[in-house]
Amino acid sequence: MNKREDYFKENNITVDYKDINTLSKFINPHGRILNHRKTNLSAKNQRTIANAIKRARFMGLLPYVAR
Amino acid sequence: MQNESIMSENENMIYEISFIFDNKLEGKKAEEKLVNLKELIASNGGSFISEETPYKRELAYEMVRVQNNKNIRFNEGYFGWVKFEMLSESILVLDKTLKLDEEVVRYLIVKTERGNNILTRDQSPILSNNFTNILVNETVSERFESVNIDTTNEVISETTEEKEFSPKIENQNLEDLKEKE
Repeated sequence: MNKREDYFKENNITVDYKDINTLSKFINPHGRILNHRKTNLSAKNQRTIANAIKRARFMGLLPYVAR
Repeated sequence: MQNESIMSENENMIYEISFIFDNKLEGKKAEEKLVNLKELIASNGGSFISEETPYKRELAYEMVRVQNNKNIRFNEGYFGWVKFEMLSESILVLDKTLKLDEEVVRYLIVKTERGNNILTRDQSPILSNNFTNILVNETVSERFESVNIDTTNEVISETTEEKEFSPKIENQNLEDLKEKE
């Protein structure tokens, strides 16, 4: 079914809220966070990127609502 | 009893502060402010790990900050961050000073780990230039060796016919409209 691996495990990188280039792959065009079925992340990483996206929104790097 | 055991732990922890400065500060003043912040950290017993100089960037939404008893709105700001190690008791002092400073629009204090791996352009196979150069050089050169410019021009001239552009359609429409009226 889902043969793709966890994005962060495959490239061996850590989650950072300042790294909006990688975080923007996990949000939809309206700025909402995608669910785990679409992101193919492990449960732990899904929680950490959700937290990182919320921090980036607070600091003005990502929008809360877009378009 | 339980509270005493928790409060007595005073260890060195790794923190990271990211901030947004007022956009009216010009180039050098933003860096000076960063230096002031670093002096504050050093005076409280902190040792630095990494940082980034503040650069001007557009914010994703409008932010409001009270300056001189007035609400001022910001659409741009200088974004920067500092990573350092410090005792856990003295981080509260930093929190208070940043809160009272009116030129700091927003700040965020985070507990982190020492190492950090981020995907850079060199490491990613798609964004780095090496990957694209390999593909392009091999395939394009093979295809275009067998083609000559002279033969292609002959082929084009034989197959196509030159037509003159004649605006016939306009006259017809005008006549039709007149008849209908």
